[in-house]
Amino acid sequence: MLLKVEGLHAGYGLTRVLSGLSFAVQAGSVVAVLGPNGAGKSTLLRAVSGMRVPVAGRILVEGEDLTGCAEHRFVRAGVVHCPEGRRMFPYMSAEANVRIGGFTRSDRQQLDRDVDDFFDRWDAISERRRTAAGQLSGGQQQLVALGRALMARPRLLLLDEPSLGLAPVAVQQMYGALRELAAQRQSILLVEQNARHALALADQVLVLVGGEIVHAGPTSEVSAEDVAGMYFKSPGEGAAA
Amino acid sequence: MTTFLQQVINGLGAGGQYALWAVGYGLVYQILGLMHFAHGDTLIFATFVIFALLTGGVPFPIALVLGMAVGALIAMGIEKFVYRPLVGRNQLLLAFVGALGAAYILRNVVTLIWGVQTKVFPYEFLSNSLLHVGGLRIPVLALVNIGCAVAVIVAFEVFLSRSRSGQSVVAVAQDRGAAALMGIKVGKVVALVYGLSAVVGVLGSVLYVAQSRSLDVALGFDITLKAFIAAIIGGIGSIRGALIGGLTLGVVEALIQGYISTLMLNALLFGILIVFLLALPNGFIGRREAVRL
Repeated sequence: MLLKVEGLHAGYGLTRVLSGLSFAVQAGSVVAVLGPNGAGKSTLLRAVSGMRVPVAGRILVEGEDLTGCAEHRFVRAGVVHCPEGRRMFPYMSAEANVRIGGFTRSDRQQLDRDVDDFFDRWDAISERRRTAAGQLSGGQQQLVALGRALMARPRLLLLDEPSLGLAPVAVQQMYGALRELAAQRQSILLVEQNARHALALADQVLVLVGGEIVHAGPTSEVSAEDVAGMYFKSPGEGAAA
Repeated sequence: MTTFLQQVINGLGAGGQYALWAVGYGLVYQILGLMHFAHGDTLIFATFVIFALLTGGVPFPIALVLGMAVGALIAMGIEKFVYRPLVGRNQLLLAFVGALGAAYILRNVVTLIWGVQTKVFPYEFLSNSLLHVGGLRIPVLALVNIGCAVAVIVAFEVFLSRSRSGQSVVAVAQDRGAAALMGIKVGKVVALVYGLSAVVGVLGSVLYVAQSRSLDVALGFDITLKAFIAAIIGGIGSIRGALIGGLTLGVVEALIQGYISTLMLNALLFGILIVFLLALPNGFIGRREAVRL
């Protein structure tokens, strides 16, 4: 199993955000994590990338226990987090942002080629590769953030709200890119508010409400309306659904 | 006119040293967002070590390298054991107080080991001769100062923009959390920057005492202040700004001493600092905030 999370508890100070999550991500699959604001979706990704040390539980990547490890251990194990809000290095060029995504790689020449390929593929940013990333539009920044994460050659890509705050056309472009990745069997754990887009892309869905998983299963079995309905259930009854 | 040019030349010579202090100071400011007020005392401690080695008969290049290593170790120790825990708890103001505390401890250790008396620094290793150009006297040491400053600034620029570890420094300075997600070991990068700031700064302080020939523990706080003022004038965190700020500070200082009054020097310098903080907080070439969407 690519990623296995067992009984994960996490939070901030005295605030418990996640209470006992268990799930797994198979290699080559796309798993969407849906849920209302404050459900703990971002905290989940932070725990799975080492940004936040869990209070309890275990995180296994390809069977290796990485619970409590720092971010660089997760990156080297192939778990790469493309964070909420894009988190550009604002004064570095778009190109330098993408290239530093491959920081842990030792094949420098292949990395150069991969950076070129990425910009050749996306007209929307190819002309702006020397522009400071802080001056790009939201959609352009999100593409750069995606390219930066891909340069690490992730075995599992963690994506936090890739459509957040983007114009509709930029959302289409982003999901076009994600569909291409999914077709190449890139494993993705995707956190989204936009249930419709996420369900169309993913194979499996986890619905998170109040820090607990209230639904887990294939995306073919649920619609965006079903998911929205789950947001209003209390966690206890959700488990039976 | 000759007097004026002579003052400018003297100022540029001193400014080279200020640039060497400011470049490290600016870098460490950027990397943790913290005023490193133990910078000067770290450098003076290391300079005393070099003084002791030289007096003990150790050849200059070896003494210099050992002194730089001591300075780097102290800087990294202060970062790791004083700044990092406090910054980690988001206690920037306490970290600043910690910096002042570390500075005083270093100063006291220096006086415990070497006493309070001003030391005569053995200067034979650098030429103290003058070049005569027209009616001007150009100290060879001033040329060495400026040459060192320019060489160090160029090396820093190339290191930061071209090399992989340089880019990791830039990334950590701009967004520590995002840098960690790239697989960068942030703690190591911060330690590297503190170490480098001391290595470059020690070069500046050795050039300084080689010129004045006297080594005094009180120099430490002077260095911190000059690094601070030069970094603010140039634009804190900018490498080229450190050079411009350092040279500007040197020239302004020389002109004040030559034309106004040596007694007024510090008052006027701090006046200039306040003007910059109020009117030009980004200095000459510090950058503005990037557009964020």
